[in-house]
Amino acid sequence: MSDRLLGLVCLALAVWYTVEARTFDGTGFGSGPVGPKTLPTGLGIIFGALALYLILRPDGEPRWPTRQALWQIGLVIAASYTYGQVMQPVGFIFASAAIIVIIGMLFKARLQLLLPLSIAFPVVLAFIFNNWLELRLPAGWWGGF
Amino acid sequence: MTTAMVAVSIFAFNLLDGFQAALTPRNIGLALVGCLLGTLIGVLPGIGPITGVAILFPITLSLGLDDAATLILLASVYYGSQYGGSTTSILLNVPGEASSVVTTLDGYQMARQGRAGQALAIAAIGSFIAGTASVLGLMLFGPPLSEITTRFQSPEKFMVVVVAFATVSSLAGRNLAKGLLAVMFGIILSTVGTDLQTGVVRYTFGELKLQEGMDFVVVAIGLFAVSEVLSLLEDTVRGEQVVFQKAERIWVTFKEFMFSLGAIIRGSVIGFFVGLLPGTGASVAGFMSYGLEKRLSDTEGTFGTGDIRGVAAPESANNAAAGGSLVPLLTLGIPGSGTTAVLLGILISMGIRPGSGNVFAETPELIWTLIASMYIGNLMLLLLNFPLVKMFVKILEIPPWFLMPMILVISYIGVYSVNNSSLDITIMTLFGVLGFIFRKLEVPLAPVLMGLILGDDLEQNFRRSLVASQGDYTTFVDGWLNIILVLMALGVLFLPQILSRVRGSSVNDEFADAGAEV
Repeated sequence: MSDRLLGLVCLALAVWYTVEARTFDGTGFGSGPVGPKTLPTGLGIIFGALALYLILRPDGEPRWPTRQALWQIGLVIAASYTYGQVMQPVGFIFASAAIIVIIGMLFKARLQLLLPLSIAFPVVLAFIFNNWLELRLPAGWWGGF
Repeated sequence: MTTAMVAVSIFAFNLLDGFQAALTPRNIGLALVGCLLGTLIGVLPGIGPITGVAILFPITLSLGLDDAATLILLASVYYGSQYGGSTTSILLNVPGEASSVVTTLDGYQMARQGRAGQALAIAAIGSFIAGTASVLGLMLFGPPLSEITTRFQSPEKFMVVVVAFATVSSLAGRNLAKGLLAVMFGIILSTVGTDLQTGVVRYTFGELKLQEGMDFVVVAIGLFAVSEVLSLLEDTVRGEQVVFQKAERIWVTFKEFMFSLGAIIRGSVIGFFVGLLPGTGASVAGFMSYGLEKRLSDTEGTFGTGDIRGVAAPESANNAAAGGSLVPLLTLGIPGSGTTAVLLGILISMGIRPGSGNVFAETPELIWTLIASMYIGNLMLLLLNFPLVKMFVKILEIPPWFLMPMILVISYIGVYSVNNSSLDITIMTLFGVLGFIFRKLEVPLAPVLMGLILGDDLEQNFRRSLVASQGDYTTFVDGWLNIILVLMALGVLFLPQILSRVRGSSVNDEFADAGAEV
């Protein structure tokens, strides 16, 4: 069932990808006998055929996470997604501290150890990257270095 | 004969130049740091060699090093992580990479009998001898094979990429359809962004940042690192834990060494030649040499119960294969494993494109420096591991609640540093989810990465070929070189399937088990 679902999703992707490919203008300068649409069209068709094969000949079921694990995995994904959204305004240090606490707790950390580390680790990293390596991490609420 | 000798001596000089370039104090320092970091990465649960190299690559760029130094550092990381993987195979029964799966058979048994030290020592010595042999082999086979690429026109270059894709999809798991699906998905990802020839913008959902295309580092860290954190979290919730054996110190007696020497030499030779064939990575080499050694020397039925030769043979073979697989990698641009695919991505981003030109002739300094540095890395690992194994083993005791968030935060820095863009972190997260689902459904991850890295090459050569042939598709099967390449692609795809029908499935299931982790 899981493989069939994957096949269906891939099939939908293949159809969209192929239809979209047909809209690319292949007549412009430098396009030659095959333009920007030819290879994607071929790819879409092969991808779709493989997806169909998967729908028709699926493997057995994998062992999916339990409800509890799924909930925790979802939390990590949400945290990681939010990290990407808020890293610029909030800054590297506070965003990192927050995510270290969240993930550390999920991996059953003791809070009295985790809290100091969650600030210390990003501060050290930010110091190293901003001062010794050619990389500027967003400072955000922390201010300058 | 004399011309051959002249050729060999020229390569030897080139290698000496490579050593000279690699042996500056700074570069030795980088190799040392790389080996240490690599071993650390290999030993740590949750970050394999692919993740390690992918996370470290952007960070290395921020060091502002030149190309040679960057390559030295990352090649050392690659070597170190291979060795670290063997360490966990022996002590934990958890192979770091597919190539050290066989090592668990006798290595973990030895560790349980309190002989972990000997197992680790013979693994290090065997790897060193095999590494030496494979550098010699690379010197002999690399340059002449690379000559062939000067005869490649666009159709041949297109077909070489097809062979690479066939290779990685056939290697990567039980179900060939899923391997192919993964490669196609990777190529699809590579078409995102602005088309170089016409400027047409494709599949960007109107997002400006996506016009530059998908960065392979972002995708690699998402697919491998983030999904690994998610998998480990699931294991933690299940309450699964690994029990590791202790190693007090590494040592091996001269008698034990002599006892294993035959296995080491046979393993090195098999490993190198297996590595040469595109499509057979280090894992296959390990299985083959273990199988041969068992048939040849296991007269008392001690293999599988902690026979030191059962560690020596596959460890030598997978190291020699790693060297041997540099031949198809550096000559044709065909990587044999996920990690070498990342190495190829790094080479391409430095403007070195094996398979599209003769890299041994075009950028000899870089290539020979890379080869020399791998050799130095081997020596360094041998010297490092004897005194430091206790420290490496201590690393295993770092609790996941500390390790997992740190890996994620360092991944964020790596991804952010690629374009200074936080959108990349969002993309990385999405690929992490995808990687987790793919792992569950046994869709291999390495082919996705390969498709993304080589997809652009595929399309450019596809279009150039058809421009030259005025739209005639038979250009791809025109000429003997192309025919050979087509046969190679079909061979690597379908030969394993056919063989398994003929011979029964047990051996190939083992291969598939190994490949699934690539």
